[in-house]
Parts: sequence; C-alpha cells; structure tokens
Amino acid sequence: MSQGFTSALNLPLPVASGGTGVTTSTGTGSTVLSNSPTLVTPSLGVATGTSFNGLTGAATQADQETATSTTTYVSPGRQQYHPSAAKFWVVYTSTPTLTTSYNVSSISNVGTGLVQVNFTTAFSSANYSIAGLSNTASSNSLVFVQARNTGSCQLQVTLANTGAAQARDVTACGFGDQ
Amino acid sequence: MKIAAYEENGVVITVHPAPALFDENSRDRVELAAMGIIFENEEEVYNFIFTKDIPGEKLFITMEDSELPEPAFRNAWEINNNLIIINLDKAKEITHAKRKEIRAEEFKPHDAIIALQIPGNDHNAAEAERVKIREKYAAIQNDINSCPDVNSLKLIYDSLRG
Repeated sequence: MSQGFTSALNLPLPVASGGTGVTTSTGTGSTVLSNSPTLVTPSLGVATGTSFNGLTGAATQADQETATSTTTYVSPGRQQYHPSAAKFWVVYTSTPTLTTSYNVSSISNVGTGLVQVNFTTAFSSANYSIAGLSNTASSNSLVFVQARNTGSCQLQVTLANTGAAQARDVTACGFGDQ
Repeated sequence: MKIAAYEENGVVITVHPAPALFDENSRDRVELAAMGIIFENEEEVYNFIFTKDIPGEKLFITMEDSELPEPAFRNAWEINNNLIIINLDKAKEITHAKRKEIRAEEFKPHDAIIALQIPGNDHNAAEAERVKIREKYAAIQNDINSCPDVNSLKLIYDSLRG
C-alpha cells in the first residue's frame, strides 16, 4: 500500500500543492519562505531594491553639493562634488613646468613668478577658496592670489623681505562650487 | 610637451598643458568623457586646451617647451618670426635691476653706521667701504651696458645672484 501511494506523487511537488516546485538547488540549509530572510554570506548577482541597510542608493551630484543626506552612499565618481572636496589641485615648478594636477587643463606663465592656473571644469562663481604655498624652503617667499575667475586663478610669488616677484615651485588647491 | 605662446600688452604669455589630459585613464579625462568630450589623438587634446585657455582671437605660436629661452630674462621675451627671442635691451634692464638690488644689500650695513651715527663705529671706514662698493658696481654697470649678446649678459646676471 505504501509503495502504491509513492508512485502516484507528482514530483517535484508544485508550490500550489505545498511543495517548492524546484528541481535543482544550491547551498545548504532552509528553504527561504519568510519576507525577511536571514542569508549568511550570500553571493548575489545584479540586485535591485529600494534600500540597503538604510541606504537608498548612490549620491547624485546634487546630493553631494547639498551635502545633507545620510541615506545615500558616496561613489568615487561623484565624491568630488562635495563642498569639502578639492575642486582643483596643482603642483608646478619655478620654470614653470606643470608637474601634476587635478581639474587643471594648463598653466599660463604670465610674468615673473606669476602663473595662471586654468581649470578644466570651471567654478560656478568666483567665490571660491584657494590655498597655496611656495615649497622652496630657502626662498623666504609668499604666494598671493592675484586674480580669481570662474575658469582660472592667478598666483603670484614674491620675496617676503623685498616684495620682489620671484619664480618659485608652488603647490596650490581650491575649494568651492562647480 | 608642446606649449603655446602669445603676446598680451607687450608681455609674452606661455601656456603649458597639463600632462593629466594626455592620459586617457586620468580622472580629468574620465570626467571630460562623462561630459561627452572625447579625444581621438594628442592633437585634439592640444586644440581643446589652447582653444579654451588662450583668450579669443589671440594669435599664438606653438613650440616644444625645451625651446623656451633663458627664464632669468623672462620679462624680456618677445615673439618674432614664430620664435620667442630675448630683447637684449630689456634683458640689460633686468640685469641692472638685479645689480642695484645686490648693491643695496652690500650698502646696508655701512649705511646703518653712517646714517645712525652708531657710537664706537668708524664712520670713515664705512664710507670708504661704500666707495669701494660703488666703484665695483659702476664697473659692472659698464660691463652690462657693453654686453654684445644674451649669453655674456647671463654670465654677469649669474655672478650677481650671490
């Protein structure tokens, strides 16, 4: 009698009949039935959802510029839009030779010790902050912001004791809104 | 690296492109690509930079940065026949300014003795030193004025650097 019952089953048992309907499986443990399953080290492919651990997705440029969201995450492609991130930085020598930079398309040698830094992407206004240093220890020199425009700024190096313009190695960066 | 040069108000301005714009994997290039600005070759990068960073309608020349003339006389540069040359008269003015600056430094301690009448100092000796300095730099002044070319002028300029 037992043998006859088994042969009458439709395997796998369909979901509609209380079964799983599956013919293959991976991993071990319990079948997921809950709306809030606990998965231990699952390997997910391309997943979609409305939030993850309280986060609703990658911060947009606007999220970064507003800088108030605590439910979006910062991705490398957009972190530079945050007010606290440098919008440009540059290192150039006294020659001047542009050694390395970010968001700088070129530098213009305008006069002795006077260099214009040209931005690849301009600031949205001229109200941005610049920090600059002359990094030649023996030069006794100062760096001034000679001009500040949305697409460029001019940095002048002078000797502290005489005020004479001098070509010197310079490092500089700027913060503001683009 | 190729650079561009143009004149504005009688001053030669040189434009030095950023190496990062020639590296297609740099952050700058990735951001430009995101804005739809994509370059097929180096010439397009140079055109992008020079068009953007040289004021409109300005005529400019291009050259290798290794072809730039002596930077000590940077304010004596002129563009002539698609080259940057050094105007010898202007270079002499720069050298004279340097001469006066160095001479003033040498005068300073003797000037203090004479001007302040500091007790215990030999004012006559200070004045004698001033005369020697004046004569030394008068000779240099003549050397500068009679310099026939930039190279010999540069030797004098370097001797003034201390």
